[in-house]
Amino acid sequence: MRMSMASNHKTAQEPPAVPGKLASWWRRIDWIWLALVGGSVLTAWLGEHPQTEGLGQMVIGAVLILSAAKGLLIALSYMELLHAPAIWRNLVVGWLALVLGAIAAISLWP
Amino acid sequence: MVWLLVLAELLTFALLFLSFAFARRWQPDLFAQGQATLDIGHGLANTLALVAASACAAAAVRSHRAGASRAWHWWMGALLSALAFLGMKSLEFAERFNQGFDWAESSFNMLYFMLTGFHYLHVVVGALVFVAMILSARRGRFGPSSIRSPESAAVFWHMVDLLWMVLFPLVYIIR
Repeated sequence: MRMSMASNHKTAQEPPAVPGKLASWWRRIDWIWLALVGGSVLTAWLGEHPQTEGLGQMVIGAVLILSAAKGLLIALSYMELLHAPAIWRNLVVGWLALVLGAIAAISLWP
Repeated sequence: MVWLLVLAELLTFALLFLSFAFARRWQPDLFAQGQATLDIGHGLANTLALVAASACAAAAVRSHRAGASRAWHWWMGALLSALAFLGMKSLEFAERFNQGFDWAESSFNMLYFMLTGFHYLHVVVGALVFVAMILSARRGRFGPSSIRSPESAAVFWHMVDLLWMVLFPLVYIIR
C-alpha cells in the first residue's frame, strides 16, 4: 500500500521518464574529463596537422596555452585545490606557470 | 604529507623539463632528428589513458564520500587505464631498444629516456596504489568518515597526470 501511494506520488510529481534520464546522464558526465580529452586531441592535431607547420611560434604558443588550461583543470578540479588552503593552490599553480613560462621563453626567444 | 611528496616530484620534474628545453635550444638539429622518430598518435593515446585514470580516481573519491559500496569499480577503471598506459609505453620502449636505441648516445636520447622513464616509474607506483585501493575498498575500509587514503591516492595520480600535461607537448609536439 505504501509502495502504491509512493508510486502514485512519484507519477504526479516527477517529470517524464526520458527527460529525467537525460538530465541524470547530463549531470553524470565528467565535463573536466571531456575538456581534457578535447584539449589533448587539439594539442595532437596542432602538432601533427600539415596546415599548422608554417605557423611555427603561434602553434607553440597555442600548445602551451592548452597545456596550461589542462594543468589548471587537473590542479583546481581533480586535485581539489580550488577549495584547498591558498598556499598549496599557489604552489602548484605557480609551478605550472613558471615551468610553462620558462619553456615558452626558451622555445620562443628569437 | 602527500602534498610534500607532490611538491618534491614537481620540482624534480621541473629541472628535467627545463633541461630538455635548454638542450633543444642548443642542439636544435639533434633534437629535431630525435623528435621526428616519436609518434604523436602514441603520445595522444598515452594522454587519453592517463586522463581516463584521473577521471576514474576522482569518481572513486566522490563515491567513497557518498558512501557507495561499489566505489572500488572506479578504482578498477583507474587501474585498467594505468595498465593500458604502461602496456603502450612498454611496447614503445621495447620497439626503440630493438631498433638499437642507446640512451647514452646523445643528449636527446638521454633526456627523452630520463623524462619518459622516470614518469613511467611513477605510473607503476600509481598502479600499485590503485591495487591497494581496490583491495581496501572491497573490504569496506573507506567511507565518508575515512577518506584520507583515497584522497591521497587520487592526488598522487593527478600529479602524474599533471606532469604528463607538460611532458606531452614538450617532448612530442614542440619542435
